[in-house]
Amino acid sequence: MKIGVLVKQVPDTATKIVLTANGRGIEEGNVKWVMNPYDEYAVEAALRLQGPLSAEVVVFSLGPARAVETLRMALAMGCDRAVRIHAETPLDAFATGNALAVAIAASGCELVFGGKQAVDDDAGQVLQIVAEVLHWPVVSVANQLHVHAGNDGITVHRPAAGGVTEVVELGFPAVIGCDKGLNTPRYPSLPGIMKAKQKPLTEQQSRDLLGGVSPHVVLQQFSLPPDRPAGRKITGDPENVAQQLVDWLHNEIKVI
Amino acid sequence: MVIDALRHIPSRGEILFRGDARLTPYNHDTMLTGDPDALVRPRDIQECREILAYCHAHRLPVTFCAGHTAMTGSSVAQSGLLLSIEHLTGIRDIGLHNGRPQATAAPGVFLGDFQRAVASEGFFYPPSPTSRNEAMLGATIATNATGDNTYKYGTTRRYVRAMRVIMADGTQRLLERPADQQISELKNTAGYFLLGTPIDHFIGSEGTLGLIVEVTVDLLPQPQPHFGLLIFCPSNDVALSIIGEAHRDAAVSPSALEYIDQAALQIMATHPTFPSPPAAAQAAVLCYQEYAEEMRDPFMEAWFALLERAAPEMHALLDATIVAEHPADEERLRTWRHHIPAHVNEIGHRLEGDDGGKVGSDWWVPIGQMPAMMAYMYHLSDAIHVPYLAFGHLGNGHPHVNYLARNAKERQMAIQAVDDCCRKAVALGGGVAGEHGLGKLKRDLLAIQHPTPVIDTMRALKQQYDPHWILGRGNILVPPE
Repeated sequence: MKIGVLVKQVPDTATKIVLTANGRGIEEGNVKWVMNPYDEYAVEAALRLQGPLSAEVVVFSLGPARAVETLRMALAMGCDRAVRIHAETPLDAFATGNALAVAIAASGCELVFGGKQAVDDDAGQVLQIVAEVLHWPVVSVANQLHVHAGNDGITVHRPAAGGVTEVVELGFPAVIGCDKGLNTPRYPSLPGIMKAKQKPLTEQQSRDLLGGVSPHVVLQQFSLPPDRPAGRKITGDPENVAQQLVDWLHNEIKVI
Repeated sequence: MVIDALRHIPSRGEILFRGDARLTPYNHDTMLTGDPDALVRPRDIQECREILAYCHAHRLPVTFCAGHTAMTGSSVAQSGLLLSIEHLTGIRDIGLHNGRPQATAAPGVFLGDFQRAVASEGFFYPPSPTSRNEAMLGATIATNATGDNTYKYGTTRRYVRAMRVIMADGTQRLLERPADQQISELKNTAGYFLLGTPIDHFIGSEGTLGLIVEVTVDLLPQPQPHFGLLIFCPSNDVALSIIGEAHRDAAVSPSALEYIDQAALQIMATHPTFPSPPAAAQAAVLCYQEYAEEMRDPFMEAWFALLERAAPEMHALLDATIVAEHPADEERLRTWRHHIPAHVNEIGHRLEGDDGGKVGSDWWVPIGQMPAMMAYMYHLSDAIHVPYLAFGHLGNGHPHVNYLARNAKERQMAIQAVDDCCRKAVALGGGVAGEHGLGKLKRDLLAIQHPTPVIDTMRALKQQYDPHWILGRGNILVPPE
């Protein structure tokens, strides 16, 4: 069996985002790039099935050349080989999902894991689009999973509204979106990093995979949230300050 | 009479007197509880000058306190006035001066805030004690603080260029380091540093010579990218040999080289986010390696090769080696490392109820003497049957050995063991107190470190700076009758 994992390289969440002058992108100079944290759960989920299912784990990423670092990290954690899909022009979730789906189908994977969303744009669409293109079932926000005794399917738990847990039974093939709490991702080990350099990492072009499919959404502009307004300073003697504070809380904020 | 005199202290803020519940948080450091008569929290240099001039005239003892993270009782007052520097805050300047990157700040800035502020301007201020987010800048200078990266970046002393000091009599002095002065790279050797210029007297003087009210420090460019390694080892001996080898091997250049022995690893493993270590892991080494961009892989390979040849039993553990390359991973490594002293302090406080508690060491030896010293320490410590652990800056020959005494008898035995180790460390060319200072709890160690004539020179220096011995009374030296 082959298991696929979809990963995305994203800015570290502690990064202070600075927009480019034209507002169409972010300044990458000082950005520390990391694997999308939800994808780490997906890599771990796949690696835990690697032995029990005698599976080859193939990790995919659609991204620029620097995304190789993230693929190498997945290989260092224990994935067997990696595929980077290069896009000449920016792709939306629809085109990204299409390109990944074609690459997955060609690889022979029957089970695909990914993070429930990427923490850069938080769109959370690619997994579902991949599943749709492949006509496979998809369950996302998985926080527990078990492979069936006969290795012929998988049970997935996902939280639903009101504290309810949905339990979904799936056969293979399937796509699963992983959430925090599903497992504790392993750290890449030093020998793992050494071995990762020898593992196959191939590159494909998105235009070869897309066969004419083009993006539906074109990004126009980024903008940062408005600055928080300056605080108000109340000064004076204590009685006067208290009176001003009460007036303000009562008349403007309307909390008392 | 003291209280009467204290009532008229020229403080523009409120004076808190003994019995005021608001004094409680100021009464303790990590190890000692004090009982000051009063507390002031001056807001500017002029107020500090007036307070000290008044105390000098009235012979009132004054103890300085900051973040209360001292390990020696140095910032705890047994009586007299406690002066908190917490309101002396603000970073005055970060930038280039005569081509040197420098920053000038007030002493009450938290070290962590100071480091983040200089980082946001593209600079780096290295000294990083574990308590950097709770310790204040002035206090880290008064103790010549060090941290894990002292292995590469040296002690606080290396960075201090100038300071404004209020003397015991309230006068003000600006101390500047001569541009051509060679700065000592030694870890502390207890007591005053007698080899340098006057600024060196104040660095590590533990609040006994004057009040530091402004400091100017050198800054470095932002450090290179780096990775962290948490290396699990099959025994304490293998961990120690890896540290020795990493120090000798020219193919690696760690910025920090930390030891975690078997007992310390067991405590580290109690942290909720710590991954369960392999059963064969009985000790660990934590190190950081900086690299120029194209050197990451060669350094990884060099570390891998070093570990592979360290010991045959290491091979089974290599897969468990944790590599931290991203800020979040690195923060986790630091959190686990910090968990050791934090957890030990908690246990220590619990044991104090039975007249036991934590007894810690701060001795160090030159790295070449580290194997002999550690063998001596383990032999001695095993023999007294008091639970203990060792961890810390072994790359600098500077572990912290913490004994967890369960009763008064064990406490005495542990204190004796630390004394014996201090004697051995001094005999091997090291020191009794590498980074915590002596304060009130460790001042007996001064006589282990130095012969009487040196201590007499220190007493004369103290007498010269503070003729009435009002400052930091009880720290380092016993005041004259």
